[in-house]
Amino acid sequence: MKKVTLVVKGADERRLREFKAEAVRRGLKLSEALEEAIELWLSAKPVLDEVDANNLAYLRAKRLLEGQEGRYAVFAFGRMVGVFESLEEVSRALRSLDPRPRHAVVVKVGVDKPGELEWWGGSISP
Amino acid sequence: MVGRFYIPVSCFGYARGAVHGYPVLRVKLFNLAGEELEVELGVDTGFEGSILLDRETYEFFAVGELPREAWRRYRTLAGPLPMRTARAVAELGGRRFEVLVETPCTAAVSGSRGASCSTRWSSCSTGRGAKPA
Repeated sequence: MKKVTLVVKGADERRLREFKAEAVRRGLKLSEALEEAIELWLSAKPVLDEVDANNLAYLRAKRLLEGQEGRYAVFAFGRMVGVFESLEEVSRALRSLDPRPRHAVVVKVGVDKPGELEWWGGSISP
Repeated sequence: MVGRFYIPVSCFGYARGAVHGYPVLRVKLFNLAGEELEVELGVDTGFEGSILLDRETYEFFAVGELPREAWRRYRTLAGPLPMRTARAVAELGGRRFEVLVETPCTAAVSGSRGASCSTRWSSCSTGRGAKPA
């Protein structure tokens, strides 16, 4: 991997000081901490943005979904794509979008609800 | 007298664990865009949910994610853990099932994969009550 020298102008001094201190606390060189931060930002940012937009679109349209129980409502690119009877129809609708979304909210109206389950240990022993 | 005969169709493979081996299922999973991914899932991991995936594998199914308000939480020894949840289709024994796949919201617990040994899967292996997706 090719290493380069980076000079950044106009960085916030206080924030940079905090960043350096945190790197020291974690036992990292400044360059290593920066690489980690870049990697994290690149991997999380695009997905989170799309997730937020689609969830917001769902919340806005939630009231319109009353009476559609058992059907699948699809949200992509921050808007409602449609309400469908089956997963095959959902699949066709998602494939017809251009560009193909990386994230979509698909809710089975009146069925998908939060719950609390358990995650303890397995029962099979050797 | 009423009884039921069970005929083994195939045997579980075993994966090597850190201490003990554990049974694994080889399953074809489809995301809601119809794309296919074949995975090996550890069985009986103590996970009560449907299918537990590591974060990277889960992203493949993000095209059918449930809204945040429907994500589920799990009681663990370390406290409640929220999970991202997506809808997918699993193919096992020539039948297709609508399933949920999940991954922890925090990246710290990534690297796990497994399936609960639920009635749904046993329905599939006995061929009764199965509902094609």
